[in-house]
Amino acid sequence: MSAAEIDPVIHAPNRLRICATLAPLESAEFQFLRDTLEVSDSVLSKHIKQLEDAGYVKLRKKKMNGRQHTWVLLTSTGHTAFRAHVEALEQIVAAARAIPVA
Amino acid sequence: MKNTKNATDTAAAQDALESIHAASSAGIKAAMPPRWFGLAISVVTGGIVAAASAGETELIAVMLAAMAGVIAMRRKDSVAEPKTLPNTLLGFAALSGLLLFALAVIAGGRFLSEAQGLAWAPLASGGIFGLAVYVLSLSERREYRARIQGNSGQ
Repeated sequence: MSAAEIDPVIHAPNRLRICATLAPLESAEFQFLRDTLEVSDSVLSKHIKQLEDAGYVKLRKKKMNGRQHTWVLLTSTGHTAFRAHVEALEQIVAAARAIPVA
Repeated sequence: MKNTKNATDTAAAQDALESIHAASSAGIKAAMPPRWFGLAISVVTGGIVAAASAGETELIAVMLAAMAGVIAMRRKDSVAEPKTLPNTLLGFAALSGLLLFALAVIAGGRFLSEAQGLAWAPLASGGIFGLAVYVLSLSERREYRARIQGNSGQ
């Protein structure tokens, strides 16, 4: 893949799906992301930490029904990086389609 | 050798794009407001407009409290929050248009009830605005469905 444009932080399948789930939203609950990705709490935490370290996501704590819930949101840096990553993927696919079959 | 690598890269990129569309759809589906929410918000906003047309400030406060209650109920079981503010110029224009429409309907209702003595005018203005909000909520749900279908069709 074109390493110059593919974002290595986002590229891992689970992190890509986290960003894709969050992109059309304001924020999503941690448990919802865990269930959607079908991963354990610890695996999701690890991926979110890597995205958080890159400045791509932020965590927010909210108290709902007397319990603390963690919500995850994509930052504007995250949105920009995700869009660029998607564009890079689309370019790869488009370039392959443009090559005539011999 | 190079061709095989390119094919692998393309297949991986295609798989990644499909996984992006599926994940986006899941997020949009979770954030789609339920039908009851659109109905409840249209009743409450219609109530606010009717109360404002009638000059009933206490009723406006009650309706605002009802609106806060409806939003709290919606958020209680929600696992994904949709974007609340429009992020395009067209979205801001539509929101501003809706606010201007509310003001016009309130002014119209007040004029008809005070100057023309039509006691039902505030109720009618509330009904008109509530209906407009309900139609908007239905079109919002359609837009959500279109986005979900658009993602699954890609």
